[in-house]
Amino acid sequence: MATNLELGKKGNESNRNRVRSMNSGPNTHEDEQLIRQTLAGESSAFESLIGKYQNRLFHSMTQLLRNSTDAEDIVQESFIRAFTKLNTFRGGSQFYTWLYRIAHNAAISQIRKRKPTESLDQEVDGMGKQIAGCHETPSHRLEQQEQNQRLSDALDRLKEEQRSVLVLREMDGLDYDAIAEILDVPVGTVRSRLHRARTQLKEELERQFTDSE
Amino acid sequence: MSRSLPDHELLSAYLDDELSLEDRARVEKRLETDAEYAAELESFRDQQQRLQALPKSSIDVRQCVMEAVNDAHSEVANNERKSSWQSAAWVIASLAAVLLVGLFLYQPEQVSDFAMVQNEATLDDEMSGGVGGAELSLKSSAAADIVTEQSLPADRSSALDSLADDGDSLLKHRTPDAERPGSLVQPSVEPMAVNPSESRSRSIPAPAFARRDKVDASSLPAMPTEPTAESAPSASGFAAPSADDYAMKFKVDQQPMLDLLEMAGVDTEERSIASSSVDGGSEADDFAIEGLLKDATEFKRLDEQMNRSWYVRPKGEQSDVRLTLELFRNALSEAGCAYQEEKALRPLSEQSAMRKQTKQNVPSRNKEPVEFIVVATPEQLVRLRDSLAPFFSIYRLDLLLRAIAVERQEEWDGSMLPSVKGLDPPGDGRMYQFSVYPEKQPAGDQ
Repeated sequence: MATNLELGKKGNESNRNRVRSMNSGPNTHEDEQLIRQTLAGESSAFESLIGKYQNRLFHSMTQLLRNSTDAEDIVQESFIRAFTKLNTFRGGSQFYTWLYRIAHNAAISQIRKRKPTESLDQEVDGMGKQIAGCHETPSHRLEQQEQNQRLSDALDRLKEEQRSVLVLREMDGLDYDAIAEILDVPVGTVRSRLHRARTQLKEELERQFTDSE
Repeated sequence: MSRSLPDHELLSAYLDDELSLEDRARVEKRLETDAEYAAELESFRDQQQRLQALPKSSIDVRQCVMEAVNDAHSEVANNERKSSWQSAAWVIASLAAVLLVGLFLYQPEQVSDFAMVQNEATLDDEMSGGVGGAELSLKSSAAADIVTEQSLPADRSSALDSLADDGDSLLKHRTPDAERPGSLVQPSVEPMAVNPSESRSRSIPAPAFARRDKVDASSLPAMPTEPTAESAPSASGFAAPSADDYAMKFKVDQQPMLDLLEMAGVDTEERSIASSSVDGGSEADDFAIEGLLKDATEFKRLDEQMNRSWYVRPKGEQSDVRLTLELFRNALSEAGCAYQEEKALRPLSEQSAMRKQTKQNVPSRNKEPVEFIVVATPEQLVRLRDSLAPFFSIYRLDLLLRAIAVERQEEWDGSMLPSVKGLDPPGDGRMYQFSVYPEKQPAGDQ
């Protein structure tokens, strides 16, 4: 059992570093500077902000929306909205959190406008594909693709609120406070919702495994 | 609080390193002895790693976004140039008007004719939704600073009633039943003595809402340009949301809605009203929010385009409260809506008596919204909205949102609103609850 505990601690340290790099550090100062420059009329500064966050936001939105085309639209729209409302950004949260919240709201709106059958049928471009490493065999790649596809299918079956919280935590690496701010729920709700989402995802994956046998 | 958390939930938080030292120690203690618990942690960790390892695609939206942003900038700059030119034109025209008034003061027998010409021009412009050259007179009428009913055709006098800000003088000519809940008051048309030289002193300054910086219109959601089969075009030409949209069972979540409104440039005052108008819900219907947002955005655009600002009244006078309510009742009647007032105004005498009795300052009930329960079809609701648009701009969003808040009750339930049991919704009609804030005053207004 000591091994499990050590593994747990090691894993947590890795998580802590990852979350720390997502939530703080020099990014904040750099963002503040870019925001000030943008507000002063330097549109190239905003372009830098886009360059800095577009892929991160796109990846999260792709997972949330399960559709890369929609995700790209949402990313574009969110940056435009962020630009037009940049003067209202008070700096109380990080720029990315604020931006993410804009995108998240737009994405949720998009999801709810879809017909019920639509979201389940969407395929996330590239979800089942994996960039091949030089040491990977074709069979390994195939296996990896299948695993990703299963994961993708399982994510599809989660409730939107569960998928949201999973994306924010697992893919975006945001801490509970930031997630709570984006979803506008208490931290306790984030914790319980995240646990339910993980459990649900696990059950979905197990169900798939059982069905395939 | 975390002490009461189930251990499994703690495990998830442990994985994320989001536990207090105490809870962390508790989890670790159990991990040492419980293999199943440890296995669950590992399965969560494995799942986490797989999610993090999902392939990432990349995009580059910089060019698209910056093009959109630059286009928006150009448009704003053009609008500002146009606005500057219009302001200059207005100043020149105002000077000319002052000169004309001066000339008329030397010829008092011509005052009546002048007033008639001025007001007809103003009303024509307003009724036709005029822009451009019409703005000069609209500015005057927006401030409700010229109120002359004399010599006007009867069908125009009721519209002018609404422009009148002097509630006292107007109410002198109205039925005394204006306060009675549920009563419909038809405006009487009686000549009023007007002295044009006094009209300027009664002007209401443009509210903060109207004075704020222009919003970048290009950043707002696209508006429907053509009415669909299901949506009826309003008087303004804007395609109103379809009946189905309004008939939806709405559940509005406050924060996302407020965010969206903020994004759309809806100002603090309106957002504040919206905030008090909806109950939080765990399942926000963003489709509903978007519908509202489009309405609000379109109204806002029209307001700015026509420079309308007469819907805000200065705080305080009882007569203003009554006038506001009367306008609302008339609008309900014109839209063909059945309604009942949930709250009547508290008479001043009652308020005064309470003050004397309790020796305390009794808050005026007239500062609270007066609730109207209205039975309306979606089409009637749209008519009502259009009818109210010139006078209640600041309230429009509130009206719609409150309608939706009530809509959330989903099914008509007589026990919910016992005082309106007799008002069965006709056909596809539904119950709506409107709140009129007679004395609401935007921040910064005088």
